[in-house]
Amino acid sequence: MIKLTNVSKTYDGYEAVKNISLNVEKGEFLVLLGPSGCGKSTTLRLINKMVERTGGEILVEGENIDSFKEETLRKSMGYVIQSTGLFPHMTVATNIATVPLLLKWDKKRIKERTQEMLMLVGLAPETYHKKYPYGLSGGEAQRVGVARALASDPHILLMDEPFGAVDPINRLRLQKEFKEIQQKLHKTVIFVTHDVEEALLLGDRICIMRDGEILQMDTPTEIILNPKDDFVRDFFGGEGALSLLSRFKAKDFIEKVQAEGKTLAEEATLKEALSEIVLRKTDRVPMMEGSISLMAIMDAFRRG
Amino acid sequence: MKKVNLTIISASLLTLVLFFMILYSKGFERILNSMFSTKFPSGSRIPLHELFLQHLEMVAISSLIAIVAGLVLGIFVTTRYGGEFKEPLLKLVNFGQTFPSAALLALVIPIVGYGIEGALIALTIYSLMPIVYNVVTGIEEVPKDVLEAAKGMGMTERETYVKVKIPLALNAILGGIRTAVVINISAATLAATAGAGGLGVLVVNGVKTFDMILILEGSIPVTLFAIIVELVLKDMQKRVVFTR
Amino acid sequence: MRYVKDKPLLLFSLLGLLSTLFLPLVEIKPNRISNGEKMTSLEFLGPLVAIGIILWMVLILLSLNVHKMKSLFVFCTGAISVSFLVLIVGWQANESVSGSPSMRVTFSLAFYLILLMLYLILAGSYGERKKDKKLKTAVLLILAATLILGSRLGLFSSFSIMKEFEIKKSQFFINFTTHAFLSFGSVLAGILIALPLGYLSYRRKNLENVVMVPLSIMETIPSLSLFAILLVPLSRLGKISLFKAIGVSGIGWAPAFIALTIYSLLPIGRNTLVGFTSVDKNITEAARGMGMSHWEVLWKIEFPLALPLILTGIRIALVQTIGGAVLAGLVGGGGLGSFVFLGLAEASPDLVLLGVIPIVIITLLMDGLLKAATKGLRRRVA
Repeated sequence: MIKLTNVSKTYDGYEAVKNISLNVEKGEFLVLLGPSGCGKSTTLRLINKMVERTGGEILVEGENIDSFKEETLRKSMGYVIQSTGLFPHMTVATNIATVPLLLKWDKKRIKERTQEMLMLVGLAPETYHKKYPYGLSGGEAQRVGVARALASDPHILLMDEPFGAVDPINRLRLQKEFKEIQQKLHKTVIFVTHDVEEALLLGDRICIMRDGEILQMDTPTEIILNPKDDFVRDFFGGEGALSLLSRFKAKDFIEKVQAEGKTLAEEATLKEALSEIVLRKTDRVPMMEGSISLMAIMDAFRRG
Repeated sequence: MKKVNLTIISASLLTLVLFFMILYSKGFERILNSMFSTKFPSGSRIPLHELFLQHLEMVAISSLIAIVAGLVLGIFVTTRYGGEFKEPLLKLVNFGQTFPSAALLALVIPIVGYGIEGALIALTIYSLMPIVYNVVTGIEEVPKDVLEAAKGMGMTERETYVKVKIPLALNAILGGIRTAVVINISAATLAATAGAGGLGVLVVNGVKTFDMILILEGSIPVTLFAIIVELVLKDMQKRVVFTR
Repeated sequence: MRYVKDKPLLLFSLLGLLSTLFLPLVEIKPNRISNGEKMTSLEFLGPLVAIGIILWMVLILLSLNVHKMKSLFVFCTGAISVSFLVLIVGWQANESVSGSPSMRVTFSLAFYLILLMLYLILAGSYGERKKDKKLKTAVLLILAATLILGSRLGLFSSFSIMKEFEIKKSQFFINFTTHAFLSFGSVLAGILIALPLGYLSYRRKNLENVVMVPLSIMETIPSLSLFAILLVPLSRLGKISLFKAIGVSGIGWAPAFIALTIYSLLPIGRNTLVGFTSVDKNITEAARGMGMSHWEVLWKIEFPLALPLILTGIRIALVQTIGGAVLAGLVGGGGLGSFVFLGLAEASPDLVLLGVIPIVIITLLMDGLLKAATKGLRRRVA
């Protein structure tokens, strides 16, 4: 779907992106992960031509991005940034409808789509569509930002640390909800972050970058269990394996054995299950029809 | 309960006062007569409403031209193509602002001759400057992340201007227009010295003859006019503030 | 158009060149009142015009490429052009009017346009490339020295402005002094009144509207009206011996001075208020926590931190009053405005310029000085 070949970007002698190549499949959620200044944001912005590359080729859905007018290219992709960039002088509804309006959809279709998007991101249309950005909390604003990016139903979504400015509690909620949205919509997503937990939770594949180069690009499990070098291993820290557990839903590992105590929530992750096991000082916690055991969790790792 | 807009109410009241003052100028003069002594109990020779309309005409025409020109210049200078001209334009504007209104008038008249044309040219140039400055500043102060989002969504430069930059700069632009029109109203009183008529005629004659009535008869309507415009435009400005 | 690296420079140089070639440069008048003969640069300067044309071509060429030293070259060429223009035109003027004491040379459209273009070019290239700034300042000083030397040598004596100046010399200095007194004096008075008022509005919230609203209203009164309204009351006041002694009366300095002081109150007062308000509360909190008294906090913390904004207000007020004092000329207050209005009445632009040019120069100077002072303060404070 998106293919970068030997792409580079140099600013006046400074190599921000050095000759990278990567491939993103349709419907894939790729996370660009790395420390500040590693070139992940620049790479993202090369794709929608917010930044002009100095070398290499970028293909989107088989076509070279140079063959499109910049504005046309960007209208075909959703773009979400950390500070949202919501238009302060427009209502939430008009904000969301920005690209459909630019594409001259008819009014009825726009109205329906706006409502649909608000519901998708978990905001009640009747309450929110007339609100202005200054009246929104950080989390609500980001949801609107996502809704706005998805409004024209683009195939590709580019996200630059979208949840970075939200407080930790809301951030987790937003991440989980977004993961569900993605599972519903199957967009091709390129997501930039420096937050390891976020990357492990959301990404189908993670691309670790440093100093403008790609160090490793693999599924989360592969990266954690088989890091290519020390930097990658240290980046995830000692808790990398544990963070991986948040990717797995506990209900996929239920054993038909009864256990005592309060049952886990249906949507609980393996990480939460492990947490409960530690807290309750048992080796088995009940969930739905059966229970989760410590052994089952260890098995999950072995199976990969 | 509807919110009471103090500004609009005061502006409307003042407009009413001004309206009556002009319509019933003889009565107005009589009131002033009773308060001050005067050598000319007959008051102004030219009817007040005529002078007021002259004044209004001068202000309206020069302001309109200045607004259009100011917008065009200011916007041009913030586009990608015109950006190189921004510094020179601002320097020119800054230089022009060092000229007091009287000086501009006095420099234009010898070239164009006495009468309203010269005054119009001087007033237009004089009002142009705050507008240009505010248009440029207003557009430049649009938050960068909003512009990033607009660009990222695929807006062309024109669409960005129409949908984002100008609406968000409107507060500053109206502020510039407000300043420009108010100083225009004030400067137009000087146009009387150039033979352009207007309420300044009363003030100038009043100064020559030390006649408080003439002075007040000229000054009060002008001041009311300026205050009304200030209040109305200020209110309009408040309505277009979008950023905290 | 992609080959043009410096479009503004090209535009200004082209306009300058066109003015030099086609527009009237000067007007030779037989005496003060009659109209004279207008001449273009070619007609007036003859073959010397070629030097001017070459200078414009240099500037045009410089606009077509980028070079490390480009802005320095542009600046120098501009400075040379200014001296060439003024000195050569002056010299030629002397030649043209030689023998006839009442003949004079007035500037025409081309002269003003060329000077304006050169001003824009110089101002533009002065700001580029911090590295060369010292050199450019040196060039600027040399230019000023050259012009002063030229004036001393009598090269400007045939200009009509200079002739007016010669005639009205003593009056000029009187007017200049009066004007300075009116503008600087009223700002000083304004500072003395508005600074404490602004501070008090900062300390007591309820005072803010009480102070600022009347001041705002006064600002909307047309300047001429404010001057005029004060005339009669002041003439009455002037009859009282105490006030008569200091010269208060309906005519003279009093109405202008008081009106200008009133006008300076708003910019100074409002900026003082905003200046103090902009001081980070945490800093004053910390200072009080360390045991400083209200006065110490004011002198050592709040005032220095508010100073940049206060200075900005003073600058605005000063620029305003230097220009506003022109109106004193209409109400008998003297000052350079007398020349302006006299010139307006006689349709004599030279007399008007005699009044306006000093005003513009002083305004630019004070504006620049205070801007620089404010910037310097900000750097130390921020």
